[in-house]
Formats: sequence, structure tokens, C-alpha cells
Amino acid sequence: MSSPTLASWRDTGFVILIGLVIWQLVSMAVGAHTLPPPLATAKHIFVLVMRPSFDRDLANTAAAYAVALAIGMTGGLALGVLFGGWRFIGQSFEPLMHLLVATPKVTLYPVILLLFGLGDAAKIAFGVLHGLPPVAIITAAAIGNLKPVYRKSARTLRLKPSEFAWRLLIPAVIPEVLGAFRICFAQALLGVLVGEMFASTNGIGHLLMASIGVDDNPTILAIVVLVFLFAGCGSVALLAVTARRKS
Amino acid sequence: MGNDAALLVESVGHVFPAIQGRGSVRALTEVTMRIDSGEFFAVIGPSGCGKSTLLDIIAGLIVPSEGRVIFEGKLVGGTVPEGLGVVFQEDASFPWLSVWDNVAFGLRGRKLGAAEIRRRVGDAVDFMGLSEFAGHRPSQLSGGMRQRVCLARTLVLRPRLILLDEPFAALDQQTRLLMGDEVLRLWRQTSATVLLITHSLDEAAMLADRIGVMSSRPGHFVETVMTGWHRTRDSRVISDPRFGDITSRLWSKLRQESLRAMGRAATSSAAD
Repeated sequence: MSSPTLASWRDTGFVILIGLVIWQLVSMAVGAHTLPPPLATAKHIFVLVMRPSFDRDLANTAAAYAVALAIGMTGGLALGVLFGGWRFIGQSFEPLMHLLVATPKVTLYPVILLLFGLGDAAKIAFGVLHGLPPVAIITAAAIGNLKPVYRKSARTLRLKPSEFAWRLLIPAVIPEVLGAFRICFAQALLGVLVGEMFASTNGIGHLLMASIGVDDNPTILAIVVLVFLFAGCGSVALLAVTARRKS
Repeated sequence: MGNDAALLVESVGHVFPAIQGRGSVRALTEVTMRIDSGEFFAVIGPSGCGKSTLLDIIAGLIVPSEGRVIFEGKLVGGTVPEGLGVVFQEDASFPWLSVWDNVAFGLRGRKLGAAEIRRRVGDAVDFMGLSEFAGHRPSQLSGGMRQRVCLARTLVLRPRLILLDEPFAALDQQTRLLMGDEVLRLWRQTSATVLLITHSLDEAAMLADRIGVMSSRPGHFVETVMTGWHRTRDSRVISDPRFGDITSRLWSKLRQESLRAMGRAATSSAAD
């Protein structure tokens, strides 16, 4: 392992340690019932994941999230290529995507419920609604902002349209698309969890809502930490892929 | 200099159509030129006179509104003809590929064996002094080296006509002189015909056999200057007394056109 990587891990570890110390201090200040301390939360996470019902909730969320993520990424990518590749289509439909990003998705909750009912489809729709627009917008921008000299080079190198797409356009926009996927990764998770909180009878989001209902603070915090860890690990993994491409 | 015309530009004119409330712009009018096979021809002119538009037309990237371009006896129109290579002013190296893969880029997808590609890329990389950096990414190279990568990428395709669109504009003076030497070496060894677009009088005077001076927009040739350099020249010609004569002659013509382009012809004449 190179020394910059070691230093990076050391810095990350230091930040986590500081975070844990602050958490402990705040917990002591407001009381363990209101904010359970880190060690108690770690123990509760262990108890929580050992529950058979947790496996079912996790599986439900994971399945919905996987579908939402897949639709968000592929759909967003396809729309982005369409918007970026064909200016007229982009000018006509891209503003709708921007509008969707700017709209608080919770306000669309009644519409989603009417369209998809109470169940998996609704939470997947919520995930897609959160994850797809950023991918479409960023991909369209990346294609639209492709250096004009690359297009000229492609012509002077006499590339066929398919060669231009596969050998030049796609590699050139991949860094931006990977960045969009990172946003999609986080946003789709948010969408699915919100969908489960308001429009589902199972899943981690539903468990979180149920815990809020009975004032079960240790479970609430345990779920928050688990989601935080999952989102953090996913984001770091995607960042690593981006960094590997750059090196 | 041979007698065969590698390139003929006949009465070429070009008008960019009106867009978004701005009127149409006539960039070129009645441009006529002939470049012989193996010749090094430079084009200079004031900013915005249509030099790059002329290059795009010759390269087949733009179809001219008027006139025609003939490369090796065939009409150029809309597509880049085989045997023609272009190096642009902007850095066109692909940052996601190594130097080696950048140079090989244009060869892949053609019907060439892997050994032939390896040989050609190896030769070009050696020729441009990039062997040590073959595995590097462009981001790890200086601006001059990245332009050498782009030159090598063009070179492997063995073009018979090389179009250079201000390829050294972003480089410092010393690097420009050295890159000029590289281009002259490339020109001698490949026997290709070279058309250089530049705004630098020194660059044109040092590199070219003939220099066409373009007018302010709409651009057309107002004078052609012969340099009379030997084919084995290099950047040391800048210390030759004739070099000053050539640049003076170019500047006397270009100054009028540049002032006209800046809308100051009348003021300047009065002052003179």
C-alpha cells in the first residue's frame, strides 16, 4: 500500500474517531435514552440484525433498491444519451428533468400511491424518481460538453459513428457518468426508504417508521447507522472505481 | 518541391448562416491556392480572417458555400479524404488512454494486423521521442509532449497531406522552436505535403517554403512569399539575415490587414 493511501486511511480513521467522541459526548449531555451512545448502538445493531424479521425487511429493501438503482442508472443513462445526443429532444425534455429534481418528491407521494398502490412498485417508483433525473441530466451535460476537438478528431481519424460512440464518446463521458451513478446510488436509496416509510408495509424504511411510532430510539439509531455505513461504503467503492480510471 | 499539385483550392468562399438573431457571416471569398506535392505551405492572417475555416474546408470538415477543393485529383466534400491528417491547436489527446494507445487509436479498427500496428506505433513513438513515456497518461505530460502525441497519432496513419491548425499556439517560445524542428524533421522523413495555419510570423518564416498572407475577413490571399530555405533547415534559420527580411515583408502586409480587421485602417493611414 502506498503512503498516500495509508495517510488517507489514517485521516479517515481520525475523522471517524472524532465523530464517535462527539457522539459519545452529545449522548452524555442529552441522555442515553434520547441518544444512545456508540457502544450501546453497536450492541443494538447486533441484536437487530439477529432478528428474523430484520432479514425479511432487509431483503425487501435490498430487492426494491436493486431494481430502482438498475432502472435509475440505465434509464437515466439512456435518457441522458437521448438528451445530449439530439439537441432538439434535449431542449424539449431536459427542463422537465430539472423540474423533477427541483420538486420535493414527497409532494408526489399521493400521485405515486394512486398510480402504484401500497407496495413494492410504489417504493421502487420513489427510488427511480430520486435516482434517475440526476443521471439523465449529468449524462446529457457530459455529452453536450464533449470537447469539440474530439468530434473533429473523430472525423479526421475517419471513425464510423459506432466507433465514435464506443471508442471516444463513452470513455470521454465515463468520469461524469460514474459521478452521476454515485448520486443515483444515494438518491435511489433515499427514495426507496422514503417510499417504504410512507407507502409500504415492509422494508427498512417501514421498520424505521414503526420504531419512530413506538419511540424506539436504539432501533432508530441502529438503522440510521446501518444505512449510513451502507451508503458510505457504496460511495467509497464508486469513488475508488473513478480514481482507478484516472490513474 | 515537385510539380504535382497535391492540393488545389479553387475560388473557395464560405458564408456561415445566421443563427440566433446574428446575421450571416462571410468568412472566406475567392480563395485560390495550389500546394505542390512535398511542399511546406504556411497560411498567416489577422485574427478572424477565416484561416481555420479554410483548414476545415480543406480537411473536408466543412462543405464550402462556393468553389471546390481537390486533393490528389479528387474532390473534397463533406468527408475527410483518405491520406489526410490533421493536428489541431487544442489538446486532442485522449486522457483515458496511455501515450501508446493514443498513438495507436486511429489504426485500431482498420484492417491491420497487431504486429503491423505495434511496428507503426513503435516507430512513431520513437520518432517523436516519446518511447520513455509510452505507458504514461497525457495528464502526466507537458503541453508540448501532448502535442507530440497528437502529431504521432497523425503520423502513424501515414498521411500524404498534413494539416496543422496552429498546433503550437499554446506552447512557450522555446518549446515552439523545438516543436518546429520536430515538424521539419517529420516533413523531411515522410515527404508529406504540409499546410500550416499560424498567426506567428516567425513560425511561418522558419518552417514554410511558401507563405500565403490572408486579408481581413472575408479572407482571401493578398500575397504569397517564398522563403527560399533549403529543405534541411531547422530553427537556427532565425539567426539568418534573410529571416528578418521575410518576417518584415510578411508584417508589412499583415499589419495593414490586421489594422483593417481591427477597424483602424483609416486612423493608422492618417498617422503614418
